[in-house]
Amino acid sequence: MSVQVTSGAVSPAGKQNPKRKRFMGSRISPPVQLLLYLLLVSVAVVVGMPFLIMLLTSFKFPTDIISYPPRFLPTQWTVTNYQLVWTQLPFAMLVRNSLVYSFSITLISLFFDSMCAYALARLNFRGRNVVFLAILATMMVPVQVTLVPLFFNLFELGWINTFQGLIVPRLTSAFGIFLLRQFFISLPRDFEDAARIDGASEFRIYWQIVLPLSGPAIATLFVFHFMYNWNDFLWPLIVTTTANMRTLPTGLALFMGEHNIEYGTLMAGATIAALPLIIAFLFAQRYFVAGIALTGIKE
Amino acid sequence: MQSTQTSVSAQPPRSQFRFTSQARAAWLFMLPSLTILAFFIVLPIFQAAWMALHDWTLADLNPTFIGLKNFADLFKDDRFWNALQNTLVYTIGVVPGQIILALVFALILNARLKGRTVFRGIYFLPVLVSFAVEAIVWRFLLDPDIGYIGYYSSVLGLPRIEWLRSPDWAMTAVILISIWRWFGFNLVILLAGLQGISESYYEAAEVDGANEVQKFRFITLPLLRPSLLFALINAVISALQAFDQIYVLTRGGPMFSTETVVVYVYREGFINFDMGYASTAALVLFGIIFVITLGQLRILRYQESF
Amino acid sequence: MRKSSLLFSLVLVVMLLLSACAGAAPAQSGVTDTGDTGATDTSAAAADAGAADAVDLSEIDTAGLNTDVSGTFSFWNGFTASDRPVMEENVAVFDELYSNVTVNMDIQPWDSLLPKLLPSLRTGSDPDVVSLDGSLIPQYVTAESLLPVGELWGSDGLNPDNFSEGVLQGMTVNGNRYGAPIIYYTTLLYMNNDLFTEAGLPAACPNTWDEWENALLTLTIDENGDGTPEQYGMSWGDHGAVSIWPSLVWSGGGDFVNEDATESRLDDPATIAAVQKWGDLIAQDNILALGLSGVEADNLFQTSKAAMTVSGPWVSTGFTDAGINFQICPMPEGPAGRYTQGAGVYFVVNKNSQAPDAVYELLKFWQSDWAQINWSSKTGFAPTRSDLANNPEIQGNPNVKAFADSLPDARTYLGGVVEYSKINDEIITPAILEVARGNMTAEESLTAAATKMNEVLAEQ
Repeated sequence: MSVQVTSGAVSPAGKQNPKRKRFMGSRISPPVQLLLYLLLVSVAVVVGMPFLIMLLTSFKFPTDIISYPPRFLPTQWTVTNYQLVWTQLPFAMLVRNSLVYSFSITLISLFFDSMCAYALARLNFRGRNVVFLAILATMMVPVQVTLVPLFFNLFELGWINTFQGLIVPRLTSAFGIFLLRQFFISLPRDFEDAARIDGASEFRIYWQIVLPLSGPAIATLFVFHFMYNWNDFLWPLIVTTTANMRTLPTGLALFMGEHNIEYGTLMAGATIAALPLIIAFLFAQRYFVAGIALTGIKE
Repeated sequence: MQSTQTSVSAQPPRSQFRFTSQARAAWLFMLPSLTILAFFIVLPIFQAAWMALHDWTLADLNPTFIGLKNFADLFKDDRFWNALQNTLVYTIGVVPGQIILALVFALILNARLKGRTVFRGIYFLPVLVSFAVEAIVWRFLLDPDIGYIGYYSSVLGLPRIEWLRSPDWAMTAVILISIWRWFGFNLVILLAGLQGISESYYEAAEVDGANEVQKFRFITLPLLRPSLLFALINAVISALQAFDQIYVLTRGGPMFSTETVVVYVYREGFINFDMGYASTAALVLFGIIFVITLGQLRILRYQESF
Repeated sequence: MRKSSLLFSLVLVVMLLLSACAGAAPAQSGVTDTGDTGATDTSAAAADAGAADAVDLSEIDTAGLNTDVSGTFSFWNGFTASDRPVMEENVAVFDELYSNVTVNMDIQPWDSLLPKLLPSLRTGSDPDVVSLDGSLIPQYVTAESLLPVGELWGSDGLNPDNFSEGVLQGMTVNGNRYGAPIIYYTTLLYMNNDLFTEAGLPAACPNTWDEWENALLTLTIDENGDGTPEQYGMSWGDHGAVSIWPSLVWSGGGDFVNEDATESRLDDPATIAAVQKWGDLIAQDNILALGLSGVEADNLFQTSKAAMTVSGPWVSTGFTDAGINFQICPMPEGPAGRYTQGAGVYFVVNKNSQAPDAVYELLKFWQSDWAQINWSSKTGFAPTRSDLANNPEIQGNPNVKAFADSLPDARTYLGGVVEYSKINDEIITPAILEVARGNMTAEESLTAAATKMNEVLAEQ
């Protein structure tokens, strides 16, 4: 019984449970469902409208984009903007750099963040609170102010315009550590205590018990890290000095001029750039909800 | 099972041994992260703090030590106070809006409704697309003369609002757009937290005859606390550091009505090249964020897991 | 975790496929200029070949150029959007013409170029040469980061007589020249001929302030009387745009700073009068909307919601494509004359450059007939050299000609002021906008601003 009380997350109620169409635990009646759907749809329309406009704009000729009264649909559809993105940017190189940059950061950072979070959430040691607060404090200083000292430091290391300069400073983040710590802290303790008594090493407990229990949090952080680094544009532009080191968002910025904006190409480029993120999100979605049910741990 | 849970602190000899071995393991676990943070974030922070004590302009090759003069100047600077006020208004506008919306929709989407993955995807979409591009779309939508919102509200006879063009409305527009962008992000965080709450609690509560409000108050909210704490603290820190959203939408204008502290820091540091003064403003902001975060941690009792 | 790694690899595969497909396309197209003409990768080499294919190098007059010079240098600039392909083409041709010179060009937005420029120059590394707005040159000279290029303007270099006074002034600090122009432009009055005709006005340029004011009032149309016009007389961007106020203040006989940039002239009665006059037209007669960016102001003109706009050469192509019947007029003449703000973007050279000779050749090549005509015809900017104004190619394009003809009216705004951004963005512009928004009189606002401005000037 103690398992049930102290570790509520471990539950026999899995996906298959037919009673799960619930709102905070109780079944939803059809009229309430209808209301909820109305709410969900109307919010989705408001949230999605700018993207619809972005998408439609990417298929318009310039005269359709700036017009009065504003035209919702193109008078004439065109894929010229997509062709221009293709031909005016060294697309393969930008995508390759973006992949190297955001994937290496995302994967390594997930590993480092989760290890650090594990120690902060599950291990007892003196100074734990101080370390935790110190890590939180690093989130509180605006990056704009550390950018110049960091630039000089990277220059001293000879890391300007290198992949290590781009990647290494990003390999962990206070944000990720904090997020995982909050998740780990609410996991049940029983399994790892049992494992400890059996003499399992801390690394084994972390790798074989805590991580598998943390599917939703890891998947969430995966999407966040990937999204953040894929879209980030100031950092790559500051650290790199040649075009062959640039990433996709920095390439898109070339369609924005000081005095003019190439709306169509920019929107087409932004649509293409968002695709990998949407794919990643759709894949990760399954893990947002999988939770403990998938780990096969039963009482 | 109960006894193993308390064994760590309850049994001195074993706990002593445990403590040291756990401490060693803990430091090893944290080593990669702490090293990177120390070199690439903490060190530059100290360098910035050193700058704050100097008349450190990028144009000046020999910065002179001026002690706390930058701080004294800052407290007499109307632009800084204006920026601080704007920052607080922005934070108060954005944080509750985005957290409450995120919580409400996380609860709805946690139910097994058909199509919920689609809704979750759409709500998350705003953070997936480049903010610079979204800002262009929004300025376009909100243009009171030729934008969709401006045009269709005039067709419907609604009052004309100048939105981003007006010093009275620009902050409201920025707040609404920020909520639009970030609530789906928080929703995903809270949803991950909700997924960790077992059905068995609700079943047990139902047996005891609890109603929806009681279930929310006594089960959902307490068990969601770690995720909620994270979402809240992260939202507050990000809001107090608001920069991107302002820079791409208004650059702090019109008439400084949306200039936040970090936008001011950016201007002083990268346009006027007065890094010493910019660092000073950033450090003061850091102090404010630190106090506010500490307060939140205290109130929300971060050390307890449940 | 096995499931998660499966997820990672799946996503990875999809994305690699995506990039592989993307990789195939540019290789075939052959016009994949990376913006890095000298880089060692093959796509950049292909770009060079592509540019050279399109241009017959033997037709380029190389008199005065030393094509035998050798060296490698980096060149950063902020010419994005529609200027980028032309910049790339000109530099690619230079690269081809000078077989012993390699240029590593990097184009990026000003927003990210400027924050890292001074730190980069301070570390003594890249770039060798960079594009810089003339207004920012004094600040970089104070930082001791730039190389004075007197040599370039010497006997076997560029001839200063071929350039207008404004062009030279914009890059001169304390009597030293710090570069060569990339572009030098003015802002002029665009008018929509059809809207003028509809309102019963002749479709001719308003020549004086009175004519202009009359046209503005006639063309500002508020049909439903709600206080917001359905059609504005004019549009103007108060951020992300070249300011219209210098032209108005100078034409009204006022100024912003004294000649040696030591004292504010904002509180000069003529300055106050000009700002009050135009501020009233905006605040009371609603001739234009405030709070627009430069691009948004252009868009209002392009959708015929504004009958006139004051803008630079870069918008003329867009207006033509949109089918607007417009003409470009000189700024109307005020009581004290006809003035427009002339502004330049210049090549400036890193003090620590290891290849100044090769860099100088780029600066000279840029001013050559071929490079100037190519740039001008494709971007709409007037040539930097005033002696090219009579060139048939320039004369044949009325839009470019209008801008070339306006150079004698051009003056430099806040020339020699080190804290340009601070004084313009944080003191002068807000003070004027207080008047234009009807919050303060020009007298109150500008007197207070003059005091602040003098404090900043005194710190220099």
